[in-house]
Amino acid sequence: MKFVTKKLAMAAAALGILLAGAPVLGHHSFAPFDMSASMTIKGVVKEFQWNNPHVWIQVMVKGDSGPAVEWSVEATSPAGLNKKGWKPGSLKAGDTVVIEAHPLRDGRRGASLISATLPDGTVLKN
Amino acid sequence: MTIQSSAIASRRGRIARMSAGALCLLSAILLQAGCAKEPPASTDGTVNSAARVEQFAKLPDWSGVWHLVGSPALLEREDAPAFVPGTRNHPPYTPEWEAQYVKDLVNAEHQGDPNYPDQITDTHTLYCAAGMPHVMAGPWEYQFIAMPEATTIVVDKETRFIPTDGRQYPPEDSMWPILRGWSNGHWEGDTLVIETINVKEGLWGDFTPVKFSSKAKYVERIRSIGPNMIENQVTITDPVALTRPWTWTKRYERLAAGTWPAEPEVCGNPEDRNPIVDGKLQVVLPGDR
Repeated sequence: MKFVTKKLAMAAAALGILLAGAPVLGHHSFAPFDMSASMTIKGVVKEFQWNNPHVWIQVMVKGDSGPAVEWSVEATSPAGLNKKGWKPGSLKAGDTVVIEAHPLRDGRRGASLISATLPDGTVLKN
Repeated sequence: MTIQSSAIASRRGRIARMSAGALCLLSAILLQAGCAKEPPASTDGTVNSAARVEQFAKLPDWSGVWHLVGSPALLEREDAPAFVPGTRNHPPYTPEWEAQYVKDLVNAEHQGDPNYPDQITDTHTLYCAAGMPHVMAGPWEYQFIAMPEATTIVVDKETRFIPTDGRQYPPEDSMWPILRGWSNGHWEGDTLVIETINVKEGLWGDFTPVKFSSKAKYVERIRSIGPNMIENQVTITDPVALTRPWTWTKRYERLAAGTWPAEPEVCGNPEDRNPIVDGKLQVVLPGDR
């Protein structure tokens, strides 16, 4: 898929540091996601779900051919995102967004947010 | 009311207030002398007694919102990273518990992996609560609400109640293992000493599959080590899982004055797209609904 760039072998040690240093985490483990890999999702926001316990960004991504497909990107809690500068209105349906994320291990179109570039160029992290 | 009856009522009021004041003074003297068994609490529900106010004044100022400093893993080294291959916690386990821990280290890393049959699920994922002792070592916000009779520790959506009024634990047949355990505390100078027993067996955090038995006893010594820093030294004795007491220390830093506590995480609500099915974490995508 053109919109997905898998960057291999993020150092496992870096993962440890990421986990240890993360100030806010979700209520569950992030093991369903391959935290040693990252991908880029570029598309149009279908829905920005500012919900507890986890925020989700639904993104419609156009492929080389055929209809756009929907990706689900899971972030931490609204409170956790808010501490990183996110607001409930940071994204809205129709916005173009570029997302860096860790893909699901099982191959479905889901990912765990690393960062997002908003339409105005602002980069917000998870 | 006539002027005469008003004067009588006024006199009666003064006498009543003087009597109350004398009783209050007597109570305070008895408490100071260590004679009274009653806690220095107000009894009328409306006014703090002088003794209670005095007790309040002796408590450390732990107001505000605090957050954990350093690693959320239960490690002797405060800055040690979690789940870095080759590093691990070293609780002094018995051989049986050590063998299980070594297995859990591998299985925990695969939690949520649909292709790994032996995955295990951590306590916070299962219960949306960490339980003891992990609740005191998480990347959350903390509030330490110290009062003369009890301290309440609020951690995200979890609360711990620690009486310091000299009460005994409930009878054995009225206690059972629970996530936060049953805590009882007392003050040693400026240090809050908490003993916790009857914690549900096998709890573990996102960051380490270190577990303990329900026979474990946790002794925490919580004190200020600076105007905006609290230290919590935790010693765990567990006659089932450990060969000797295991001690580690966590610190909490006070956030800026006026900080609003973060909205607690709530799990299991209709918007939660990570339900637990058969004890395992699910990730629900739109097509799954």
